[in-house]
Parts: sequence; C-alpha cells; structure tokens
Amino acid sequence: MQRSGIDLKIYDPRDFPAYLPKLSHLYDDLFHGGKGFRAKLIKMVSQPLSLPGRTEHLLAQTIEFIHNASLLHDDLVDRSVLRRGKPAAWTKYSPEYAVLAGDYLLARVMVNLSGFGNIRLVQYTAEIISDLLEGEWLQDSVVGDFFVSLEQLDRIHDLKTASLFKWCLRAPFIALERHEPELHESLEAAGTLLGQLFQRGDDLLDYDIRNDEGKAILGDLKSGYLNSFGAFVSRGKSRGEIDRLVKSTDLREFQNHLGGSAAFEKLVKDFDDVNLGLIADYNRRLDRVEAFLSPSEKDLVKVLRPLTELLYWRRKP
Amino acid sequence: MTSSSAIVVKAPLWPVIWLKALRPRSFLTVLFPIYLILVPAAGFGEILDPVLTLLATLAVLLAYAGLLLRNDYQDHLSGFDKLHPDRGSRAIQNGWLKPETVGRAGLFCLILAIVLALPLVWVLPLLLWILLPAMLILGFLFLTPRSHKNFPAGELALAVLGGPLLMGGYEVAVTGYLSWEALLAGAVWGALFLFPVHLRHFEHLFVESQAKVPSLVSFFGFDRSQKLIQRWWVLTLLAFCLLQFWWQARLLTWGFLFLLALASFPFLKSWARLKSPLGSEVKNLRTQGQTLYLLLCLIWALDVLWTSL
Repeated sequence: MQRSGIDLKIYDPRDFPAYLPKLSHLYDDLFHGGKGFRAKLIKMVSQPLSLPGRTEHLLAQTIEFIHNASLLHDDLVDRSVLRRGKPAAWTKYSPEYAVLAGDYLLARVMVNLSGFGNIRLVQYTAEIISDLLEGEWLQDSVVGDFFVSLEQLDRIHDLKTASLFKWCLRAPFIALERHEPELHESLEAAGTLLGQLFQRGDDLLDYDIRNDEGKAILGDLKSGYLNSFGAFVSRGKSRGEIDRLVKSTDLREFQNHLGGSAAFEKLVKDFDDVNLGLIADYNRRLDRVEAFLSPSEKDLVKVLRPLTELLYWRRKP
Repeated sequence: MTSSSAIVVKAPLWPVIWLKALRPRSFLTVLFPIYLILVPAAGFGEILDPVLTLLATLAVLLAYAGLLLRNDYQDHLSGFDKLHPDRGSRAIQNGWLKPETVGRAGLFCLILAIVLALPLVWVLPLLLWILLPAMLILGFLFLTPRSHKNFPAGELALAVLGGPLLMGGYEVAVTGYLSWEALLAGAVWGALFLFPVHLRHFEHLFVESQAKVPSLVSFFGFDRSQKLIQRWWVLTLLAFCLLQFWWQARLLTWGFLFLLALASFPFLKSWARLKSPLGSEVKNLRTQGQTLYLLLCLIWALDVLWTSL
C-alpha cells in the first residue's frame, strides 16, 4: 500500500481507477511531501472523542483530499510553477489534468462521505467546499489590488483558509451525531480564529519572519497579492506610499520604505500584539467548548490550546 | 475579533449622546423635501397658515427621528448592527444608551408626530389620502423585527414614503393643495436619495449577501448591480433634467447640470471597471458617488432658491 508522508494512510492508489493515465503519478507527487497537518488535526480532535478508527480515517482523508484539490487548482490559478519545492502538477502533467485531478478528489470526497451515511456531514462538507471556492474566487478578484484592507482580506481568509480548520474541529462531532448549537458555534468561532492565525503566520513568512521553512521572500507581493501583514503595514499610508512599498524588489527595500529595519520590527511587534488578541479570543472559545465535554473528552481542549504556538508562532508547543 | 486590551469609549454628555443617536447628517433625507416645498411656497406667498406649516415641519422631523431610533433599535435586536460595525449611531453599541431606551424614544417621537399631525388632518382632510398609505407603508416596513431590511422591495417603499408621499403631504399642509409637480419632484427625490443607499449596499455586498439581507443590490448580485447603479444615476439625472425642462430652469442651472454630467463620466467609467466586491476601489467610488449626489442636491437647492426669490 502506498504510504503518504503522514501516519494516517490518506492516499491509496487502489482507491483510484488505474485506467486513468498519469493519475496515480500525479497523486503520488501531490500527497508525498505534504505535512498533512489537517489530517493530524482531525486525529487530535478524534482521539479524545474516541471516534472509531474508520471514521477518523474517513475524516482525515476527506480534509486532505479537499485541501489538496484546492492546491491543484490554486497553483494553476496563480500560475505557481513550484509546489513544496517540486514542479506544480499543472506544469509537470498538464493544466487540464491538474483541474480534473482536483475535481476528481472532490468527487471522491462526496462518494466516500455519502457512503458513510451521515447526511449532516455531507451537507456541512459541501458547504465548506463551497466556502473554499468562494474564498478562492474572491481572492482572485483582488489580485493586483494593493490597497485592499486587512478587514477585507480577513473575509477572504475566513472562507479560503479558516473554513477547513472549522471543518476539522466540527466534523468529528457531527460524525458522532453531536449537534449542540452552542458547542458548534464555539467550535466554528475557534476554527475561524485558528485559520486566521495560521494564515497570518504564513503571511509573515513572506517577509522572512520566523521563516524556518525557507519560504520564498516577498513571493505573495511579487504575485500581485497583498497579504495580511502587507495590508497591516499599509494602513494609513497614501496610495503613492503603498505603490512604492509594493514595488519593492527585496526585503531591505521594503523595510526602507517603512522607515528602516527598526520601524519594520516595531510593525511586526504591533502585528503580533493584534494577533495575541486573537489568541486570547481563541482560548476563551475553547473554554466554552470545554463546558460541553465529558470528563474523558476534556483532553481535547488541552490538545487544541497550544496549536497557536505552532500555527502562528511557528514553534513546536 | 477582539483585541487583548479592551478599548473604552468614554461617554459624552447626554445632549451629545442624543444628538449622535439622531445622526443629524441623515436628516437631509427629510429636510431637503421640506426645503423644496417651503422655499417656493414662502417665495410665492402660498403658505396657508404659518402655524400649520410649523406643525407639519415638526411632525415630519419627529416622525423621521422616530423612524431612525426605531431602526437602530430593531437593527440591534436582529443583530444587523453587527454586520456593519461602522454604521448606525453607535449609541447602543458603545453602551451610551440602552436599546430599550432608544426603542421607546423612537416610539415617543412617532406618537408625538401623530399628535401634531391630528390638527393638520382636521383642518386639511385631503391629507388623509396621503397619510393613510404612508402609515400603511410605515407599519408594514417597521412592525417586523428586521424592519424594512426584511423585504426585498423595502427600499423602494422607503423611496415612495420619503419621496412623493412626503412631498405631496407636506405641500398639502403648507399650501392647502396638492400639485402634480410636487408628486413628480417627490418621485425624482425618492430615486435620488436611494442612490447613496444602493452605493452603501454595494460596498457591503459580500457581508449582506452572506447574511441574506434582501436589498435590490444583493438581489441583483455583483455584476448586475454594477449596471443597476450606473443606470440608476444616469436615469435619475435624466429625470431631474426633464423636471428642469418642465419648470423652464435657468441657463445657469443647465450649465451646472452639464458640468455634473461631465463629472459623472469618470465615476461611471471607474464603476464599470470594478472587479471585486472586496476591492479597495469600492469605498473610493462610493465616496465619489455620494459627492455627485450631494452636488445634484446643491444644484437643485440653488435652482429652487433662485426661482423663489
């Protein structure tokens, strides 16, 4: 059985028709090398809830399929030639195959979930996929717009990024037929915050802040996209100033436009302070979730609380 | 989303609080039609009775104040005010006034407006023909928790209320008669004051669509609303020009209208090029559109003043 890079065997080529040329190679490339964080998140949530193994696997596979489908489409939409240090699927195979492979993963998600028989889970998953696509669409609509506000970007990230985190927190409960509205409201809010923090931490990598994974510097900016940190430092600046800022060819020039490296560091600290507020809010939401958990399930909150260390601060908790 | 340190907004003095709650700038919606009727009536010596005019003016202002306060109260109850953190008077949201206080104040203003209108109806029974449909529309729009925002045609009903019904009713109260001119001018005014409303809905299209707020703009969606707003402005401007043609406006007015039409071109062109409901240009263009709206109001106001002097 083909193994992916994660403990849960998310991808098995036997799940896909062998008569489709290049499909298995494409998925091999796609699923290898990925960190599988969302599948791990499913595992973290499922274990305190004592979710059956098969259900845990189904959920992990579902979220990774959705996430990787969006990556296949994303790379083509953004014309990104590399993914995880390797040629993106649309360059190595073809744009047509990349689109179809993404669509096929989403179709498999629906097949697998409908076989599971939990209609609410199917509905919720379909809503999340819909949100994800809306987020992608809206993000594409603001490419090249360097004057977009942080508030508007948050709306896009809520759909595009946070939706999958929300799903990871809520889907295990839905799979267990646990539908308490206030619980799901708190999980939804916690997922939103987690997704926002993850996105903001990822956006900081673009400016070489806590960039241990070696992400390309100013990659977003050069792709015509002002990310959340870019929008944050642009607040209150004139259009001329923003224009000069976004045309920076390297990080030093970017920092100089903001008043030098000391001023840049101050802005990073200010951004961190804002996000500390989000982290505090996230912890408050987890407190509310805890009220709905049985004593044996309360480990869930202990497991979820330190995630902000990893997702925003990019350090192991 | 909350910050780690709470931001405390110091409460101003109570007269200032109530002034903020009443949002004086929004009174243009009723002050302008009052002006359009009162100034010519005064200029041509057509005011029937100054006391009736005063009662009518106070009744209109109190009714509008009441509707504004009730609207804020209902927005808070329905959660609509959370959709737009920068809208409304913020008097409830900042904790300066309790929602029930605002709701009761709104009701008090509305009742007082009705009381002031009673002698008007007694003296001028013709007013009943206008007040009855107005009160029906008001009740229909404002009796439900989400107010006029609950109905797809809610804003069109508001335009009828604030346009021909208001101008027609006020004309009857001031002059004792009802003219076609007032009703037509009211129709144009109703269309005109909806223009900034559409712009506001367009700026918040994404949020309002997600919250299923049934405005014309969210009904039409991004692409068709782009065209709706362009056409709305052009048609309103044309309707106003037709009115001016009928009233045989002065050359100076035509000159200003021509300049305004020229100034509209960059706005319409930029509006057609909008690519995203979340893009940065939307807010800028909304400001431009509002400026055009205010300029048209100014041209109209000056024309009425010159004609009446």
